[in-house]
Amino acid sequence: MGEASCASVGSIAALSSILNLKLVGSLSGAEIGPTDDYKALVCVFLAGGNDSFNMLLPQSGDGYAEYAESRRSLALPVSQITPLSHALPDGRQLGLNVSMPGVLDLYEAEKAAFVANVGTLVEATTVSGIQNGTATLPLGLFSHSDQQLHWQTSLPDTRSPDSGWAGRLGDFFKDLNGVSGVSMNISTAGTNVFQSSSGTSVFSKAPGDTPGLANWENPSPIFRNRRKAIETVLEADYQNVFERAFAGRSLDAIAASKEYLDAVAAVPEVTSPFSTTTNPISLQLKDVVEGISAREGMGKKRQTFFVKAPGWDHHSSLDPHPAMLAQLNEAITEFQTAIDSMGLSEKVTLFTASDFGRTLSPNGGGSDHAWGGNQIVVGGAVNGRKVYGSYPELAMGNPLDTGRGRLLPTTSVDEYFAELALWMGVPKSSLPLILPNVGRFYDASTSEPPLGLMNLV
Amino acid sequence: MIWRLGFLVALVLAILWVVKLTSQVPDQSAGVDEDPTGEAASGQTSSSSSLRVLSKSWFEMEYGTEDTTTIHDLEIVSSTLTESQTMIKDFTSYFLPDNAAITAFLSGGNRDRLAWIRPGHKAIGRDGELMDRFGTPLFFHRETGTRFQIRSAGNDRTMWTDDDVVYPKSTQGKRGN
Repeated sequence: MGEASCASVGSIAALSSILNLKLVGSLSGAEIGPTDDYKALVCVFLAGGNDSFNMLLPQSGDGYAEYAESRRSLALPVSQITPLSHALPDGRQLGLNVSMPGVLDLYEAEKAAFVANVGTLVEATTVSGIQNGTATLPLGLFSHSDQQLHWQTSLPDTRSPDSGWAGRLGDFFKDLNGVSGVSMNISTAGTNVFQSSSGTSVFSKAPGDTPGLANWENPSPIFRNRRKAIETVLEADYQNVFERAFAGRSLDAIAASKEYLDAVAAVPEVTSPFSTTTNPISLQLKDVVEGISAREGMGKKRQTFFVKAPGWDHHSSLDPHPAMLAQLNEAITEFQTAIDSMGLSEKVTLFTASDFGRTLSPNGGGSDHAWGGNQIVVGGAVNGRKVYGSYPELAMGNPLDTGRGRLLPTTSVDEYFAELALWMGVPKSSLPLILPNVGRFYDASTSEPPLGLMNLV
Repeated sequence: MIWRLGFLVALVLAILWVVKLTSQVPDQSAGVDEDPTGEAASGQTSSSSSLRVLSKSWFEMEYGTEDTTTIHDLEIVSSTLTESQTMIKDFTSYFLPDNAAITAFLSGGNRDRLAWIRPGHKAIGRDGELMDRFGTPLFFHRETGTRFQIRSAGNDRTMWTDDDVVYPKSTQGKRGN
């Protein structure tokens, strides 16, 4: 009964927030002001669960000894870890996987930071609460799809959310972004929950492809006739509500694609620093740069982008992991170079997300689904060269260990995303509209930021 | 008139008898027996504890038997997990990170104290993990809140080798990616 009540209250709170978004959508423009500068968030989702304790890890001393003992066959030798230029306040020396020199450079240049041991939480949770069954846990904990859902919605107490937190951002900033037919939320990885809501759709663009119907603008008679035929079908007067809605949405999508292409064509092509045609993350981030460059033609003051990199579920072997981190490193480094060259360093923030961290103990050659993990945040507005949150002890059986080195997160996704939402311009008082559960982890009435990760001035 | 009255009395008595009988008999649906010792699974019917072993569960009857195969065993475990989700409320709220936790859940470690696998079953290893027929713990890959891909290390008893047996073989969203 108690649990059911809590669930109901949570659902009502979420529903209430979503309904309120409809009401405040028109207020956001007035609150932030029409002359406010452009800002964009870029989410790089590492699907499968990045083994991030082999990405950011202790590099020396007792910390490394604990790490090596816990990870056994998965432990990187010290030679594969580049130390950060400073130790944590508690004296531990962390390092970054040697496959990520570009991210390390950005970190040392104060353009990147890490958020340690962050994960999905319904409420402040303890290991003893889990053991005695009193803790309310994220639903479907340790499952890929549920944790991806929770990371993208920040609503881990429901398995059927109707919006993601960037979708709610889209609703909030609706008026600020004018009347463009192109959504504020652009994805290079198909439709997704993160950017969706009842009031905001996702503009989806496959990497390297031209959005819209092929040859729509081709003047050749055969394509002109095809276009006329399609337009005739879509513009017909349908009695059936579904047919009418489908035709309307199709026409909107065609118009949005044209608007996007016109906006891209109107700006000079960004001199691309992207050196590869095989790095799937680079290919997507190249398109993100294109979408950002075309922002003015689409009247955008705020944008979000969703990039997805598959293949991080390393159960059988962690051998591919360094090469995948190298791909991520290359893509992030080149992306930041492009953003810097556009003079938008302070205006664009890239952040990583992933299903979960992984077990510290090996299962043979790989690791299994766990909970808290480490994330990267990059951009000129990041208060860089710092590890935010609390980097955990990595000894087996430590106070955060729920078993096999599955670490209870010490920072919730709500706190992580609250920092990003505040930076995007959401007032503190409106945070619950974007992150309905944030009050369980962060008191917005205080003058302190959730983490201190972003320059919010 | 008298025979009508007699019929009514007999009808009332019959109804009362049925109600009394129903209130005394434990819920037999799906073969549930109350059994604190696990004896019900072997056909005995003691009934005095909150733990209820489903003595006629597919797992109890066929898992690891000589005339079946490894893939059949995995299908049984998969089906058992699916069945547990229909009978245990809020399955996705349980803390089920690995084999030992899932085995404990299926052995009665749930709020309803329902057991599909009798505690002490020979397929449960010393660490509380469910073993395959070759004596190696099964691996549960949680793809969604309710769907698991289950892996046996196979005859070589080494996980992640070519002779591994996996059920279901093809799953939605390859390895969570």
